[in-house]
Amino acid sequence: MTRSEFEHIAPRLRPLMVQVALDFFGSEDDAEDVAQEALLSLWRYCEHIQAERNVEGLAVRVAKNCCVSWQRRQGLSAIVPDESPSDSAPALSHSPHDLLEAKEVQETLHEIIARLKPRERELFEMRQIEGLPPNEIAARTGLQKASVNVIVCCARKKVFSELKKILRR
Amino acid sequence: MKDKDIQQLTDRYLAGETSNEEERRLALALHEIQTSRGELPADWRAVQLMLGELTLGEALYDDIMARRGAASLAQSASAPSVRLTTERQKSSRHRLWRWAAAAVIVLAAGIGVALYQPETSQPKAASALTNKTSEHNQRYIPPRPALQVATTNSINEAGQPHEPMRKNASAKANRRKRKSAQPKITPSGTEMTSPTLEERTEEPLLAAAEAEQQTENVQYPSLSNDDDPYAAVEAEMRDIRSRGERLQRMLDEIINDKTMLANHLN
Repeated sequence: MTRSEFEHIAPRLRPLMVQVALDFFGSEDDAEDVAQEALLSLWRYCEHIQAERNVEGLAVRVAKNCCVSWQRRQGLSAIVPDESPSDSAPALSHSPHDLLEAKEVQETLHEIIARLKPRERELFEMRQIEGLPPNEIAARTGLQKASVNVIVCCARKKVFSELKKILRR
Repeated sequence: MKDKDIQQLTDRYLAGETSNEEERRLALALHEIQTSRGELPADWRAVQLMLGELTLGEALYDDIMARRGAASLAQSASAPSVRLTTERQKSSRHRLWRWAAAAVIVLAAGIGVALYQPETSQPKAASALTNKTSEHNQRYIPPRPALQVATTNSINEAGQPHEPMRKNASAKANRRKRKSAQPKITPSGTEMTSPTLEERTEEPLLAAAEAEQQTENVQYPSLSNDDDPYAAVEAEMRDIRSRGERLQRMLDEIINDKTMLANHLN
């Protein structure tokens, strides 16, 4: 997806993201900020996916992820009464070493996925990034649901074995 | 989630058999284990990376929202009990109010009866003992002297016959009593109630003065300051009035107490 294509669909996606954030924070200001951040994150994902894909599901997932990340960064508490923020949204490790390692692992994961066959990669990303269920993938790609499951299984096992090798080093 | 369940979900994930919901549960469980234990086995860590941050973020978002919904449901469930408690308190207050009002009314009635009964029963008791009620009644029967004098004077001055006066039976009876008590004392020697026309025209002022003297001397010979029935009635009225004022004050105090009680209950 090109930048101009993304800018064309962004006004349609933004209200979805604002609504997700508004449900979570209850504040329009926070929701606008989170939606802005979510659009930037979505652009990073959309760089690698085809323009004809329906990215609304992905936009909602990215917005949810941004809500949790925003809440964790802001140190907001009282998500649920009588509950500390660490209970509701457990913090990930934030040390520079961990962040660097996580970034390296993510790059390795992208390289592994990039080495998959095109069909495997397409279905893997549709299933993993966009979060589409197998029957919807089957409807979009014109494949049988069983075939989708087989291709997705094969792609996952390839990525899994490659990742395991890297993690065991 | 137990390790065994996590392993089963991991196997199903790699086989491509998991639903989106199961994948979110798996991502959440792996994240919790990583948070609690510090690190994950290589297999689970690889699956966690494959699931990605989006799945984990979505799982955390849905988990938080679900817990919020449960909390709001719990609050809304507790709200009716609070309302019910308030209703019960209100109804008990209303009941207490009703009882308090009834008690105040009964108290006021009791006080009224207690205050009035001795005063009203005293003459009866006294009359029962001393038989003075007839005296009181007799003292009420004669008209007031001023009225009597005025009527007498007007009759004498106008020179009209006394038939209209005779129509009044009580006045007639009074006159009879006066006559029986005091014989004729007019200068002419005739009865005062039937003077001749000449006498009336020649000495109207004298007749009036005689009549006044007669009423004062005859009609109320025994009415001293102590035995004056009007004075007694006025004293009794004053007494009743003062008792009424006292009762009014007591009622005001009761009403004040009731208001304070109501304010305290509210």
